[in-house]
Amino acid sequence: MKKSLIVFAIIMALGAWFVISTLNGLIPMDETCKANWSQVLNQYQRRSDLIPNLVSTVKGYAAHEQDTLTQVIEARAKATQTTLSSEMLSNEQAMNAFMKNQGALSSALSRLMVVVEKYPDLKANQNFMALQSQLEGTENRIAVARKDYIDSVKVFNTRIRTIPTKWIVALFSDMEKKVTFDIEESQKVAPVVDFSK
Amino acid sequence: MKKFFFVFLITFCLVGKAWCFPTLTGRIVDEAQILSAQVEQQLKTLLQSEAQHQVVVVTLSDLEGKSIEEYGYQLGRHWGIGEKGNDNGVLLIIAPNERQARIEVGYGLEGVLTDALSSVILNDMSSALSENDYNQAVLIGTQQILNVIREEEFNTHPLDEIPTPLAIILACLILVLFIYVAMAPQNDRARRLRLILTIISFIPGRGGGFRGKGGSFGGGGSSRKF
Repeated sequence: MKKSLIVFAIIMALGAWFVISTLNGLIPMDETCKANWSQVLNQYQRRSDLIPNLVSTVKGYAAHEQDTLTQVIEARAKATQTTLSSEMLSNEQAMNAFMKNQGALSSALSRLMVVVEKYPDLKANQNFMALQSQLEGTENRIAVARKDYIDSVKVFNTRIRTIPTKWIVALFSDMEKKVTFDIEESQKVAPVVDFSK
Repeated sequence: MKKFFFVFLITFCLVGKAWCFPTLTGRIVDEAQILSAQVEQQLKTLLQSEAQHQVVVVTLSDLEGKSIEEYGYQLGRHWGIGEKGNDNGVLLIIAPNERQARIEVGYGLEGVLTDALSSVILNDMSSALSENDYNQAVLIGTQQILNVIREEEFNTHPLDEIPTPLAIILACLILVLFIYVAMAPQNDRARRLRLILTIISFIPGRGGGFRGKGGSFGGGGSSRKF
């Protein structure tokens, strides 16, 4: 009688140990996802910080493009309004809204960069050239940060949806599958340059 | 079966994941074979003078259909150029067949070698690049990159290429062995030792002692078509 009690206790202990180590194993992955997400946010922020300077430089040379400039400013305002903390990464709606606004800013910016082609003086301006290269660099950093985030979420989601981790998480934890998005989303709206104008 | 395996290998290479990067053989990796031996020597001296940060010049024969931006940071991460944590590596990449050049800047140097500065450097290289004078272009680019990043200092230990105590002890031991064998009378034991020494001398070096130290890249820098 006593023997079976001991066996039962050992099995329980082993089970508890298994559950704990499974959950602990998820934590580093979760943290990597969050760190990568904050990198995504950083890069979007960096882009947003560049815009006022860019707009005022362009304005000096291309006052006729008021529409395009206004669109950029509005898109920026909207994009900075929606933020997404690393605690909300499982919220698909919030993520979609965030990406939609950032995507709108991306396309407004690329429209601006197309319009700018018409102004050789502006393109030769040192300040503008510096801003342009910073913007390109930032767009590239955004792409890298997004890809890193997607990769880390893939690892996390695979683990969290694999049995028995799936069951353990369902019973003992509130961790959820994180939302991801298309890598190339921001590149989808690539502008078409029309040289006939 | 063999054919199947070959097809499998090619698909494996093509289907993302397994990128086919060139090997890091030193500070200059001339995969596209566009640099002259003389310039390579000059570059080597230049690059070695920068003990703190790792700068690597690489020419690529093929971007494998990727953009140079994507290839660049993946290559930098793959090689681990720069020190872990400091991320102070820079790649100067030339892809002559795709006619693109890029300066890929590690996280830690993004503050000094900004995108704008990288773009200015590429601008200075562009006339040489468009004349296919890759030697000149690479020399200009390297010089300017070094000038910019030289000012930035990190809390680093330039372990690169300085022999560790273990290496010194090993070298001494091998030297002693050589002397012992040379002076020992001809017998089985000496012959056995000689055999061991021959084997040791065939162990290849680590490509001039240059290797990445775990630095990472986040897509900073600038690129240009030429």
